[in-house]
Amino acid sequence: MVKFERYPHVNDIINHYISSLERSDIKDIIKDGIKDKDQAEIFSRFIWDMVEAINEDEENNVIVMGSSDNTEMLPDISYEVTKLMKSKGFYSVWESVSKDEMK
Amino acid sequence: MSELLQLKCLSDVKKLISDIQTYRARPVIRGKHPTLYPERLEGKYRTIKGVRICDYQFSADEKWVLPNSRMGLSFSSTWDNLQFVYSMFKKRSKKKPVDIYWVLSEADIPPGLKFIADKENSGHYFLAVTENMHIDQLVRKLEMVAHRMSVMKGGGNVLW
Repeated sequence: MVKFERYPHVNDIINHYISSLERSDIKDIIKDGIKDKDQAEIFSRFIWDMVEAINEDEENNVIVMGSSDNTEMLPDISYEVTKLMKSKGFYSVWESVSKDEMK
Repeated sequence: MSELLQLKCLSDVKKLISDIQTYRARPVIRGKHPTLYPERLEGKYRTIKGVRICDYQFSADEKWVLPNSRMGLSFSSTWDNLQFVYSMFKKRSKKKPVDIYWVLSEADIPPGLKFIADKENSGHYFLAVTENMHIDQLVRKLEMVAHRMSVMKGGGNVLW
């Protein structure tokens, strides 16, 4: 199971965007944990999709978790995902996907 | 010191962080406070006088902040660590510039605060409290830190 403890609101915002982006596959990864490189890449891509969605919701004044601006959470998301990927041995996947997303 | 303050571009900061390892930096969307947060009244993410409850350990009455080496305002000391945070801000902030604020690790920090290395995430530091202090004291100290921070406006575009 993937559970973020240092910044627990990261669990909440990920769960919100699993629903709003209709990503049941990510729900399964959260439940069972990241088990291989393919899942690590899928999860990493989802995180960047979520960053885009946070952007769009802020621009469109969509209220998420009580606020239309959740950009303050982005460092917390980065922190937790980076720590997770290091602990599971998939940091290189997270780094590679992130480089690709920033092109 | 005067030489350091004349840095003109992000690549200079990147090299500085890489070479010296005594800087602590954090990206901030322009117009937002570098060390305090907008008021949020509810949830795990709420704030007390601009301080997030998830960043510091509070007493039960939430008037005092208690030392905890695993809690504090978040800073990066390496480019590898900073780039993910910065990139997420840049990714979403298509219309808003992102600035990078940085501070010397020890010289610019008021008594009662200290940078403590995050044992679980290399390149990441907590600006922790080292003694019990009233929330009003912490707010004043975080304002002092903000005042002493240098800023790289715009942050540049080349990260990778």
